[in-house]
Amino acid sequence: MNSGSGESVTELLARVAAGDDQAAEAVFPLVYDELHGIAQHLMSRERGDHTLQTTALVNEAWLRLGGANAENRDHFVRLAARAMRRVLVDHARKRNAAKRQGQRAQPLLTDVLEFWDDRQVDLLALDEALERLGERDEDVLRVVELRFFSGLTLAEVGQVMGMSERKAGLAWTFARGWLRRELQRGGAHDA
Amino acid sequence: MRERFAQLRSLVEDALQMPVDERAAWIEEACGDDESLREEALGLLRECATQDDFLEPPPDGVPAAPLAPGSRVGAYEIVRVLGQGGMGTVLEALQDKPRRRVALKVLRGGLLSKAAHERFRYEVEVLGSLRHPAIAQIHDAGVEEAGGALGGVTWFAMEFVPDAATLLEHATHKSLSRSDRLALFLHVCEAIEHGHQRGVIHRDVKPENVLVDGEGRVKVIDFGVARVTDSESIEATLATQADEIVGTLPYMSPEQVAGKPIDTRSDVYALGVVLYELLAGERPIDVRRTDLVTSARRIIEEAPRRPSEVRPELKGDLEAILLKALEKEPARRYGSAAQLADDIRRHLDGRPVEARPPSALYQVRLFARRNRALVGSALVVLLIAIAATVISLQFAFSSKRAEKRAGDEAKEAERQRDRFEVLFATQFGQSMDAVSKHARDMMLLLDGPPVAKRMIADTIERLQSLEADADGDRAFTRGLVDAYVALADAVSSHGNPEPNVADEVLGAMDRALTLVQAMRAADPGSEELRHLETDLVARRGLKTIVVGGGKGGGLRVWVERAKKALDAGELPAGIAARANLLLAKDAVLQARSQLAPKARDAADRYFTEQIRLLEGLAPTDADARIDLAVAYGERGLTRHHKIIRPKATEADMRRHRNLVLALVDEDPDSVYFRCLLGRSFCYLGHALMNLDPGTAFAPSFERALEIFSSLREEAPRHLLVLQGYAFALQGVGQAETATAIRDHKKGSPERVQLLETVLGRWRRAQQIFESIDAVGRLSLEMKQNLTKLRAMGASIEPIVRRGATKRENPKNGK
Repeated sequence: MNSGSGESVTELLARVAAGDDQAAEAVFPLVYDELHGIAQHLMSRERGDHTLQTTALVNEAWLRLGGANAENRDHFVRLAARAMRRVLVDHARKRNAAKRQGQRAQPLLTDVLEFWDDRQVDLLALDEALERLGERDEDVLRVVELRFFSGLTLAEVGQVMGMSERKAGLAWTFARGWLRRELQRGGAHDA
Repeated sequence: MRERFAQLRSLVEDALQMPVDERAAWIEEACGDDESLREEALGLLRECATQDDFLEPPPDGVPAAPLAPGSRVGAYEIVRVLGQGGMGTVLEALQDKPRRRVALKVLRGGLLSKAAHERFRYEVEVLGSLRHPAIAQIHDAGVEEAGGALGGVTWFAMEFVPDAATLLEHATHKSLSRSDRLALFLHVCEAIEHGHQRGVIHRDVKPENVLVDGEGRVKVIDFGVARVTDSESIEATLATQADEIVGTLPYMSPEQVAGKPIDTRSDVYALGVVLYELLAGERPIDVRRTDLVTSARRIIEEAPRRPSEVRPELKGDLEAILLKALEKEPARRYGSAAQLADDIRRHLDGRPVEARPPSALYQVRLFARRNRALVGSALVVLLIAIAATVISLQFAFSSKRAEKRAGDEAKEAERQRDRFEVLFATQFGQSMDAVSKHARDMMLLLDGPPVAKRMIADTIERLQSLEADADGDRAFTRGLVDAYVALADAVSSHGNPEPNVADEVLGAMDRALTLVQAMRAADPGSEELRHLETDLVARRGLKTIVVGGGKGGGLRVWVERAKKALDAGELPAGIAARANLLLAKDAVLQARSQLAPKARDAADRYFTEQIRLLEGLAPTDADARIDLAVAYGERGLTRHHKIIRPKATEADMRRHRNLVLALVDEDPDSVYFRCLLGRSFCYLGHALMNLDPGTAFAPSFERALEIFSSLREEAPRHLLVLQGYAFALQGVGQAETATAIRDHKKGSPERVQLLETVLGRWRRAQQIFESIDAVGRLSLEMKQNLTKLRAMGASIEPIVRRGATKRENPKNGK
């Protein structure tokens, strides 16, 4: 749980709250490791994991990383959404590789991934589209990460982003439209 | 790119807020003749207005409307809502075929993948196979897909329990007697055992899941449902429903809370909580009004409240049974619900139960394990352990008195008594040993908790009330003396002053002495008692130095008495060694105050005698080994301050370090031993420095700093750790100063820079010492050291400051 500089997550989050971007960079890998670790841990327990939601992972990570300090929660949730995106995309990549080699994939996140498969969402293509979205509007990207990767409700997204639920809903609707178009044409455009 | 995106976004978002048929016109107007913008905005608007589930996370709400009476879920017609919880809704419903009444549990969330569907079917089949009169049968279960009428729900159709009340409601309403409650509970155990026999763990045993029907029959509901729906995991439940977990958490076993694998014994724990609540009316660990993280920690760490504290009449068998079911370690619990039931039956039949109250020794061991890293409450827990010993002492004594009454035949009584005394002495001695062993590792917090003071005072009071019971009984009085001494040792050791608890510590020692003197008055010829008194005199004198920091009068009395006792001769080596230690420490104090120029020689003599005696004891006596290790360090320090015997100092410090290394080897977890080790490296560094400033003494200090740095992570507010860390910083600084002077020219930037680092270290060390001093807990030795540190800092400060000025204004310097 220690970063290289020996600071605790709570301390780092306090610095993130104070607007320190470097701290956000430092805490990100910790959050990622934690989420990844929890996913692994859940996997090892052979459970009926159909109700597993990414929100569960994020909450668990929050508890483990010193969730006692509630005022940093929104910052944490924003970081965690991005970390969750990394975890899921990494799992998707690994799974695809495993499939190519004819191996059975790991069971846990597979369920989450299969859900998106059933709905015909290609996570890797989506990830690339999100890269492009982030280049255009960081806020809209965050909204997508919070909603799609962390499964927050629009009210929660609004709270974390410091905007009204209505605004969050509009941004989400716009992002969905933009991403749908983007995925349809494979990203060859200007705006 | 960004600009255009922002433009598009605001266009489309504005349009989305308008009535559908005005949107396109608005965009056309807003775009004017920018045709490409208009095209793109209209295109995006179309995409945005498409209503489907693209990228929408799985829905997880139960819509209220479709669950209204009269509506249908699968083959069931809903009659009424029975209850609504965080996770879902329970309904009374009518099944079409066969026509019957069922309880329908509808949970939020569908299944994510096809594989999950298969697993679900399998699990439901297993649950359906559970058939027991005390288990509500699961008839069927299914999933309504997301997008269906219910938007993704899982449902279970279960046996309907008419006129159901929960276990606790039933017991309260019917004002059931204790044995009726136990009889009812036996049915719960049987139901749970039935599931276990078929490999199903309930996972969510709580009073709400134990129903009693109108005829007074137990029906356990939701058997294994938690697994199928995944709600047994704290993380999954937390994710959706904080309020749900509040209802479930108090019944979760420590391993379940910790997210470890669980087995049937987890249900045994939950049964224990339910039985506790059923009998005592409260829960063993009260986690109301605490946040989840704290609650979870308490369930994992905190011992359950003794049932007899809530309801005195539960003392004895039932208390033992409850505590056994509620053991933190699954292996210490009943192996199965059936075993728990058997023990309850034994109690009901008046046969001896299997459960035994945990011994004081076991509790102390538990304490030791929990406090490996010395958490903040160590002091309190240790005192509780002592209090537990005292309580068991009280218990032993009252049963002994009962024996006295019962034994009409004098001989039989005598025999019983002898047997009891042997038993008592061993048991009690062992407990005390364990307590004082861990007392060495006592957490000395920088800001000692006020609770501790109260605990000590309470314990003293308890012991004092026992004095009246002692009634001239020698073995019993001895036990009390030991308890007083152990208590005093537990809260004051390691040479740091304890102003907070000084009165209590000295008071406990005085009580012990008074008891011994009374015993001697009754038996003046006893050598054993004379020895004991000398031992206590020496201890009392040492405590005067330790807790009061040597201040105040009173010390002389004890020193003179110890001297007299030593002169009288014929003392056991351990006691003589302790008396010598007192005389040596007293001499050191005199030397410090510089009133007695010869005092250091006297101290050296007494330490030497102490060491001689301890060397004889050390091979067979673990305590003597510790005392011996410390004694070498103290004598070395005395010699160090005399300066003229650097070789002898070094020899002492090496021996000191080697002995401490052996201690650490014996008990690598001990914070106290590792503090000693760190400090011994500092001492050795100083000794080497004195011997020859040219020798390589730096590594000793660096090693010390390493040890204390790692200790600081483990026990950041531990006095000895803080003090040692500052001491090591100071030493490393001294080594660096020597390097600066040896390797760099006077006034050179390298030298100034190195000295700047040194000054930084010393300032930090100074701050730490001062913060300890501020609460009155800096040891005498370190106090003296602080003065030295300040002087050293002052001597290099001007050099560093000049260097800094030079760096800022290079032209002004020469």
